[in-house]
Amino acid sequence: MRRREAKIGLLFISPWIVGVLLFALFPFIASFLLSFTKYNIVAPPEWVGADHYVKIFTDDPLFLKSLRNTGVYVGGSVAIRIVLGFALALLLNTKVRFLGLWRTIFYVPSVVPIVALSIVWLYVLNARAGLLNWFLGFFGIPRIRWFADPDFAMIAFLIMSTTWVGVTMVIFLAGLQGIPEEYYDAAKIDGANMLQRLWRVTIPLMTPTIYLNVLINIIGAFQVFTQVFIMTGGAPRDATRTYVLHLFDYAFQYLPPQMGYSSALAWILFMIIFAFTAVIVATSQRWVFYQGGE
Amino acid sequence: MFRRTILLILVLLLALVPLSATVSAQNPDCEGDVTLTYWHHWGGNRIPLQEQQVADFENHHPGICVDNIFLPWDNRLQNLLAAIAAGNPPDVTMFGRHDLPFFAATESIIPLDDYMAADGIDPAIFHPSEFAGTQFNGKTWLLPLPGGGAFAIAWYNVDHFAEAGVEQFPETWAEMLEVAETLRVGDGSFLERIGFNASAVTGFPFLAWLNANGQTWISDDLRTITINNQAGMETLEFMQAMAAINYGIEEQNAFWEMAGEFDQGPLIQGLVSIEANGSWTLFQLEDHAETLNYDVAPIPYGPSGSADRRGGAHGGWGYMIPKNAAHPDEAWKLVKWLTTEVEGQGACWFIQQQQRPSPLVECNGYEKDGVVHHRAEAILGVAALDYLVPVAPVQPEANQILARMVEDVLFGDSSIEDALASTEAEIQELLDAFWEEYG
Repeated sequence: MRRREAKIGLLFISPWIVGVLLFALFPFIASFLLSFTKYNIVAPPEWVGADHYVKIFTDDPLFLKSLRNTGVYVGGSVAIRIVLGFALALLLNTKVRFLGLWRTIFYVPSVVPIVALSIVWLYVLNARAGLLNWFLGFFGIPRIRWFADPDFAMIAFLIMSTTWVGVTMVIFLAGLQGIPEEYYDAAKIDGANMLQRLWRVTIPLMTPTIYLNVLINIIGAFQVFTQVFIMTGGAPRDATRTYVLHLFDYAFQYLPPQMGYSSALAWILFMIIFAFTAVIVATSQRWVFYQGGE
Repeated sequence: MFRRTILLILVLLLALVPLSATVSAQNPDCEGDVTLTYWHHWGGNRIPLQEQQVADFENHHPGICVDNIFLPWDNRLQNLLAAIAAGNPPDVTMFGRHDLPFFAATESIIPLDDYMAADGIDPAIFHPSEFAGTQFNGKTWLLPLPGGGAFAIAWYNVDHFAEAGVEQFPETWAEMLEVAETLRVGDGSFLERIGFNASAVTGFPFLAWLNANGQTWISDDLRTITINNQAGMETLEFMQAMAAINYGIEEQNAFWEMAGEFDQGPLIQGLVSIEANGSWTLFQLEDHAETLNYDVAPIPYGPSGSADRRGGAHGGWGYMIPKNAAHPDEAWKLVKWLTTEVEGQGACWFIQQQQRPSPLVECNGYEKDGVVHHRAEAILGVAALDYLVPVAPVQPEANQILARMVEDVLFGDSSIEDALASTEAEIQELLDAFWEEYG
């Protein structure tokens, strides 16, 4: 009977297994092997050893620049999404009127296609007629040339990253609703005010959710591409050239295509994300607290 | 109920997104043994023209049907390379002449010379500068359409000229700088109108100006870059001076963000007095700016240039047959129809509907329904001053490096001398690597 159940179970998950093998594991291994080859897609790959990795670290000035730009985006956008997402979740976990409507308003932008979002943000951040500059004008802030000024172009993308705060918010909201009311009651009896309850009860019990959100957002932010590709193409002065845009150019924009080099760039990015993830996972025991845990 | 309806609408909208990227049209009435897969990038109001052109091909070629697929231009290389690598390419595809050297060097596409000889297609039916862009290593790899010439024509607002008291269109760069400053409207830091934006010449601003300054950027054998010279310095100085007139590169670029395409074009919106753009601007102005009082002129020439060399014939498009195409013989018939047909609704008709220069000598692209456009003579006169700007085998990456060089100079991060020297060396290194591998 158990064997039969196992077979049926395998049958049901087989589409997923096939999908993972074909569209994840195979490309994963293939890209690693390709990173040691010269491969222009139309001719067979040619083994070049570690040449691409050597070139990346010694002869590709845009490697460091794109990595630095991506680092700024990761740091900024993750901080924005965690802080803003948490704040929104706290607000929407109260008994305000039209709660469902508010939750929908903040979440809906996350499901809008990124191409459409990019067009909207181009209007919002237009230096001459954009909504944001118009709004800042009320506070006496002079016009900012968001996408024309290398100092502000990446900040513009950080502002745009608030679009996806709804996803973070929903996860936080789920976490908040999992905190038993008894803890707050006990804190109140002990005389804790609202801030103390937040600091002593909510945040410690939310650390598993914060941990999850930080991981998800870091992994996603390192791969930022579409909006940059559509809105600036890396300009001005390569100030918005992100890492994935850089490797995309080698694979699909330049001729001859340099799939091997691009794969090497992709593997370095993978190692960076892996290292970040490993550090967060390794340190999580110190700052993530589970209910009922020690 | 309300929630369900909203959810359903959202799901349907999301489902439509991937569908909007490609449009496939196949005539349900066509009966044939062979169905050709045809990729093109003619979007917007050219889609119905394509459908009509393909339908007429099917009428003239019984037994051959065409699956007519529109693909976005931006992803053309990804799609084509993936299809060729997978052994399942289209039978015929629209193709950038910029992309030819790599595909020809790797023989990923089929040479057309034997087909041309068998069908008596004489290269002389095309303008020489157009046919030149189809050649690599002495073979013909595609046939051209539309024309690759007349890339940089000056379109200008006659009313702006009159208001500013400018009587004649400038002939030289020195005159152009003066006129642009006269036409510019602003308060010293905030632009209201640009006289001219030298950084916004379609596709290849530095190469266009270098060409108008009498210098070719690459040797005829496509092996040596030649930008680090007096003409190159003058070209960057001109672009720098023009940006300074527009209150610097940042303000110039920020102002230009307001301009879009078609009816949002800068000349149509009145954002600019002079716009350097290709011959296709004509149909945009005809469609979207009926009341605009405009004229055309050749772009001005630089101190090392001459009056008889102004615009650039650079790249352009064509049609080719990939290696491993399922039906190469029938595909050739479609290529021939799309590029050489002057009787039916083929090459000539398609170009005439858009009122743009034709690569075919026999076809006046400005003649539509028997009437020649009243601007034809002026535009063709400008196009006659075109000079071939060659396409390098590493053109896409070279374009990025050149754009970076211009930015380095205009943002003041590099001297003109250093920028030219390092850029020439960088592109030369790419070129040497290409020829070492594919030469």
